[in-house]
Amino acid sequence: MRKRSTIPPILVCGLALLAGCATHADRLREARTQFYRGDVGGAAAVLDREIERGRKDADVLKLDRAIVQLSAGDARQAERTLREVRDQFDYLEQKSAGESALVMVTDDNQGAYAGEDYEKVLIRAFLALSNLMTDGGDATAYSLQVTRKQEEIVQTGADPSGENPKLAYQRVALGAYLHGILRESTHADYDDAARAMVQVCSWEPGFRPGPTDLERARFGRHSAPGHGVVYVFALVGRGPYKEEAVEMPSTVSLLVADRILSETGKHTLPPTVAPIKVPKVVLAFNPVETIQVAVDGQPAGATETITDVGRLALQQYEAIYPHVIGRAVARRVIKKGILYATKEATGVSRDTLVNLAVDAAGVAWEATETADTRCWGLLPDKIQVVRLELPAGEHRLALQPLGRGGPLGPAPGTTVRVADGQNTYILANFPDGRLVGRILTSDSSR
Amino acid sequence: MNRRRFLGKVVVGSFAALGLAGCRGRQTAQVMSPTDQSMVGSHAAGSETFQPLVDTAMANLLGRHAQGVQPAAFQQGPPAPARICFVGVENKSAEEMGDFKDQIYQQIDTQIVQSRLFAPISRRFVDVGLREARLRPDQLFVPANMQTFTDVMQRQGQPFDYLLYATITSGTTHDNQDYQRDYLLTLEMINVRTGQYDKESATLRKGYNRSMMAKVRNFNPFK
Repeated sequence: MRKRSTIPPILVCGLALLAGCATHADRLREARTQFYRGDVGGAAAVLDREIERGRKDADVLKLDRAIVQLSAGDARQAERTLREVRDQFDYLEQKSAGESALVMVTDDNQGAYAGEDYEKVLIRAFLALSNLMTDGGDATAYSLQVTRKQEEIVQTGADPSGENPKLAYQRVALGAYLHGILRESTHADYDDAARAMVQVCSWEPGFRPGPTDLERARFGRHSAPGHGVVYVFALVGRGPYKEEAVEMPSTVSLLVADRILSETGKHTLPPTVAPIKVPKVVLAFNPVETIQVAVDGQPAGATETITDVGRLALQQYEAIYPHVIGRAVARRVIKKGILYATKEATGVSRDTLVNLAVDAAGVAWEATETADTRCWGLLPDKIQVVRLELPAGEHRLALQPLGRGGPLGPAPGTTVRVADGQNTYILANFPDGRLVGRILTSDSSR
Repeated sequence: MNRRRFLGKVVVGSFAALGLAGCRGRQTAQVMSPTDQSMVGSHAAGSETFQPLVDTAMANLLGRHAQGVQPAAFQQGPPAPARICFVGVENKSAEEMGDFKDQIYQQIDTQIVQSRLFAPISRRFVDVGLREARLRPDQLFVPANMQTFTDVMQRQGQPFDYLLYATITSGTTHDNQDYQRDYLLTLEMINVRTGQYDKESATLRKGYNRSMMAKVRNFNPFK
């Protein structure tokens, strides 16, 4: 009978606070909309404005800024931005006990964001791509860092019980692929190229050119005399992002548990009125199947997926999802425990207004939690590549995005100068059926 | 002790401990003097392995040729050092060499230069030669390919007497959880005119400990 009289006012207080504050997902929405509309300048302005506010998501917004810079053709600045965030994430990866305590009594948004595991790996992959579009001098180092970071993440992923959910992580083959093609282009390090291509075939078995690349690295040669190679990298589709979701089974379980404890314990516990919120990885529909490349008006090849970013994000998140729920539930238990201890320490009786006020404050405290939706939101859904061996000289390339039903939009073009026995790199971003920004070519920046 | 006071102290103490313990720290580094011992790679070979391999193999090879190498062409006056074309390092070991491979190349190249027994050809010419000839380093040991490559290098004004090729291999012996890996650096040198072949190698054994017993056995606090 007692609880019938206390829960309704508490419920009203809780619901009043449920409106909550704007999340990272809300802030990112405008930049994503502008970017996908093709307004690179507008997206940059929105991101700059949000970064200047200096919130806890400033670092991850810089990653989006790097994608905008890359699409706008400023690969050098994109590399600088990515390098800055890489170093900052490396620093934030370390645990801070003070921050951990703060996060447990507030929510995950109050802690620094060190990036999801796939983001940490992809920062290095994008560093390599950005560098290839400038002088390419550091691309080999970045490509090695991609593989090394993955190994580090998996090796340090074991929990105290010895279980390692990260062993099941899908590996990013892009780093190995970049390393392989860079070593092959030296004409002297085919052994390194072959090793890298073995990794590519193992980590991304769906990448159809993999066996051919491996065969060439083992027994073939970079290109025929008088020829060079063009690698067209395409960022296709809209990448994964996070949205807030209600973890209803855990919320109901916790509500039942706190009601039982309130009934049987010395003090009441604030009821779990505010739902437990967790981030969920969301994948957008990607209409772009491939980018067909025509050279001098003739179809020359189509891009194949070397890294499926959406699948990677989803798979990695599923692997750590129990841990995410566990943290959210533990946070609620700690909050309830603190209130219980406060009542015990101050001697608050069950049937008093003070008790009701403490419970209402508890519900309000729990209702202020929002899910941590921080993520690198302008990643592509897939990173694709096609290798074209062409006679040395100047060529006109046209990139046609194709969906299941055929062409999706116009086929933007670029002119590329192929050097004898050397690699040339092209990068283009097709989040939908049309190009966003411009096509980057490595030979134009050298 | 009063239960309320005890609970209060526990809560306050826990937060104080959390706040004080475990803060993030910036990574630091120090310049190591030449006498400082190299770090030992816990999962793979590193500087502690490759540096002695290169030093030993090169010392053996150069020591054997210290009596002087006769260039193929007749020359008046003191003999000029024979020209050597170092085509590269091939990794056939079980491990990735990462950024070490290019460093090993440079270490070997530097030691050849410093020996004054041989005059090495710049790597940039070697790379251009391989690209021009579209030959893989392992294909150079076919006589026809070697002739093609020699012709390309001569056209660049870089004739050579010897071809040098380095290979890193490994052999692994398992002992339950622990394992021993033997690293072997082999230097193969071929006289391109006579086909005469010389070979030198250096080996280094390394134990990797996973079991607690092996870790205890190899623990040395004075290292």
